[in-house]
Amino acid sequence: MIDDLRKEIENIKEKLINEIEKVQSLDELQLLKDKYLSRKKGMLTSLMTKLKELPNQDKPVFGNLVNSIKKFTEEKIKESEYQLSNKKEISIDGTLPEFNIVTGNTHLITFIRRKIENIFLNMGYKIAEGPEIEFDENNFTLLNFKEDHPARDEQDTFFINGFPEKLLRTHTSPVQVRYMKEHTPPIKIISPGKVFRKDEPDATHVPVFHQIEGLLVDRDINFSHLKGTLEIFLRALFGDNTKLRFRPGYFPFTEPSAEVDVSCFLCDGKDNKCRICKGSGWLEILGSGMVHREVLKNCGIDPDEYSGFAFGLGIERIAMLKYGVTDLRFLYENDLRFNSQFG
Amino acid sequence: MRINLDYLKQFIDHKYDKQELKEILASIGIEVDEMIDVNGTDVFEVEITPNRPDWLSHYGIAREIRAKNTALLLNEIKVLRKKSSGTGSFKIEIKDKTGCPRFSGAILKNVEIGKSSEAIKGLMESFGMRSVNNVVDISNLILMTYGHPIHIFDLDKIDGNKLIIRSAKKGEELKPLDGEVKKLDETDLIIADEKGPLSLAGVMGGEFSGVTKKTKNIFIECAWFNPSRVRKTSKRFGMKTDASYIFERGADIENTEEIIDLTIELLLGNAGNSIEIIEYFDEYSEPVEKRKVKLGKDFPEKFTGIHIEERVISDILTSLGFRLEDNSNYWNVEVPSFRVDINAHEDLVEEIIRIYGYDKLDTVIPGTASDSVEGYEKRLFLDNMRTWFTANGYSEVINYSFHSMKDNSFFGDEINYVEIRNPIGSDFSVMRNSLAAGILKNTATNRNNDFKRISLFESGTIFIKEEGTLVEKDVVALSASGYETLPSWKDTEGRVFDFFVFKSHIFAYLKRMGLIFKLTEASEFTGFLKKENCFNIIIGGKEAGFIGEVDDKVSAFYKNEEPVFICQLDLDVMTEKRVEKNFDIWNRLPAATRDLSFLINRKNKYESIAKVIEKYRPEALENYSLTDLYEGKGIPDDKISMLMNFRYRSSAKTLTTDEVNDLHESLTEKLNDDLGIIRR
Repeated sequence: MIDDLRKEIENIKEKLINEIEKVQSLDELQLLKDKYLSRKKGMLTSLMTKLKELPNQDKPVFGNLVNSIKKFTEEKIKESEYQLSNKKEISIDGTLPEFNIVTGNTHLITFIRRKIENIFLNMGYKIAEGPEIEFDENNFTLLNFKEDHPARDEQDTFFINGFPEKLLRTHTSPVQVRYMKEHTPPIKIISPGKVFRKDEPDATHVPVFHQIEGLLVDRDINFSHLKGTLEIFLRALFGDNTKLRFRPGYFPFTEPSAEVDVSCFLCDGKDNKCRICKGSGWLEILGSGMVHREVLKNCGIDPDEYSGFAFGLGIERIAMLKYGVTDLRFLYENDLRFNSQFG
Repeated sequence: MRINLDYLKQFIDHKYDKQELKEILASIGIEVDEMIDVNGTDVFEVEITPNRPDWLSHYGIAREIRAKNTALLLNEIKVLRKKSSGTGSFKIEIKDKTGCPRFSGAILKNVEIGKSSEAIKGLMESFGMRSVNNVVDISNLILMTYGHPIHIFDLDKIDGNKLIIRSAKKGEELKPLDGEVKKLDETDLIIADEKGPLSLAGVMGGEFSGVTKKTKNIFIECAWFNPSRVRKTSKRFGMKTDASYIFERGADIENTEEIIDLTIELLLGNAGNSIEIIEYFDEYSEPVEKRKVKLGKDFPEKFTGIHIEERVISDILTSLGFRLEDNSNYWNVEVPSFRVDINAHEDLVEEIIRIYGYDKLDTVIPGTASDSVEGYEKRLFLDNMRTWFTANGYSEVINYSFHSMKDNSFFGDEINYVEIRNPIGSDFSVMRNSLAAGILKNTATNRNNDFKRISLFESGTIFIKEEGTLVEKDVVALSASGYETLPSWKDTEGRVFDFFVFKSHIFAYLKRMGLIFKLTEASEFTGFLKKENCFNIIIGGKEAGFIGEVDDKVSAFYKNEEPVFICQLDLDVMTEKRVEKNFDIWNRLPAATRDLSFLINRKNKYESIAKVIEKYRPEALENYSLTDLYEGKGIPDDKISMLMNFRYRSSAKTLTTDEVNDLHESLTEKLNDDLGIIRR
């Protein structure tokens, strides 16, 4: 008895497969669905009526068989339904243009600043910031710019009315002064920020610009540590093949002082007409040196116990060299045709 | 300074071509800015750092090249002092010995003033100097050769057979060789005779006592003047001369007699055959002690990180003019008088490594760890804000920190302006007291360039005076104008920024950062925002900034025709009030929502509805929102129709329909009682 029923179910299955292949529309499919699955007269529904005729031990077997053919049928119908409905739908034209969603951009100065900050954060430096209106003392005197020394002329300074001891900082070095006065070594900081010099705006000068300076003070720090540190930094910024050149320089707050050049990342000295190195193969990139003993002393650090190095660079200069900005005034016009190109 | 390469060879016999020489100079710290050809002679324009006045001469440069390559020969300068006939009637009196510790001179008679030789004329031209006459040219040649300025007086114009070096008296006057009559005061150091000032010491001689065609007898001055005094006078009168340039950096105090002798040597060959040397002078009553610096033998290695042989160290220093006294573990180093920049052992290390070669430095990574990480929250907040707003269509701008007075006038009281004493122009005469002006200018710029959506932000410092002290505030400003969503083929209308769209952008961010904030009517109306659309933002109970629509007149001033919405927030307040949330498990019980449609008097702000709801808020009221707002046709003029949605969910149990209805009814009644809403 159960075997006959098994056979019958197999037949129904074959028949279903045959019929479903011939179905051409969703209406036809509905008819087919009714024929097999309708609650009242569906073929599979009426199969179940045979259950009560079976001996008890065969009942679960039969139940399983019916359930599986039911499931099979439902799946087949669903499959067919999917195919039929897809055939009917017209696919979308995915090539229609996207909408113009306005996105914002980080300013190039911020973009470069964050990039440099991140290199130093990865090297374990901490970021220190300070006020933009500074005491003359922090900006010059404690940094070993002697009163009435011509070195002060190199940084044309804005002063504040009614506050004779204050000025707009000409570099971010006063942040280092503040930090050294408040902390004991080891000190390992960078100080990014706006600085001010009295220059009429032109292609290569702006009266407000940005610097990042670094300072490390500890026991037994030497000139080779400075070179090692700058090599890591400049290779991270300009590429692994960057070469460094140290030249003697002069800053009142470092001794010895060094001007640091990097090999031209554009032509490596191979192009006589190179737009940035003009064929020299080298680009002046930063100033650096060992912190002057007078500066350490002025900030309450014993120069015979500790030594340190400092370095500084202009973000605008990186904008010109690395990102090809031809006129610094573009950075401060905030024309979105410029600002939207970066970050 | 200019270096004539042919002339340089008189002092050092090198075989370098100009490119090689440029590299060598760069390697020891002398930067060649430009290579010029003057009538077939190669000339370098070099930049000399202010610590090295000894490089402001051909001889000084030659000495450095010799130190770099000790195989070369340096022509020592030595001339023997010529005999003088000596009458003893002329006197030098130094009244100000700190201003002028040394004053040397010579009197020469029967000098023939005339044209310089072609050779000297050529040199003058290569130095970028004008040839005047043989005597003046020779004083310039001495300056360019040895770097010590001299001055030549017409002896017959000096009254009373005496030169006095003293501070000027207030009210004295002097007409320098070029320029207007200068009114002197006590800060000026002068050289005078019995009658009055003849020359501004170390800056410029006077016209009256200068050498002219008629001059026959001269006084040659070679002195050492206090750098700070020279600088003060030079600055005050705006007279930057070749002499002041060297004196304010520091000339060599020991070579004044030598310079006089060298000058006489040149005059004898170039200013006639009947020159008579009458008398020499040298007032130097308190000779400067020789500077000595102790250099530990292990210090160069300790400070550079590389080992340099002791023999190499002593050779380098000796070739630079230092004298070394060898002790067992240190040298006692005597500094030559022309090296005003050497005071400590680090300075000597620079000399050693400079000549030894910076390229020989090692690359070592210091093992130092940072001591602390305080103060990063503010920067983190700003970074976060920048990321969020750029992602939401706001572009970052950076403006100058300067305003015109007019710019500042929109945002604060004049008494609180931070004024720049020496601005580069009236547009930049005060420090900005708001970020709004910059952003409004930028908005107009971009509107002119046909940008349809102009939404900007800037972070930066604003400056004000508060009760007489300078205050810097870190703020962030945001602005929006034009379309928020640009029209497209799918949505031809787009969406234009209005106050509510802008406010939603700002508030979505504040919420995201876990800040507790609210809007209040502007406490202080500054006039740059529309009176009817001007609010303060309070964060965590502290006033943190403003939001509103820019007033038409202010907008017009910055050339904006479309509405501009603007908001400025205090970064410190936001950072301070930010509280990072703890994890809070969500309510898993089912929620029920109810709508409430009602009319309310127009004079009641939405805030008053929120206040009543907050006042009577049942624990089970999870959320409520305004879903529709209607005014106009079918609604009385003094009323607005609102549709609000309330979501109820208790944390304690699943609420029954009746319970929800009761809660909702009771809240509705309160709204009715307090605000007189009319249910619809």
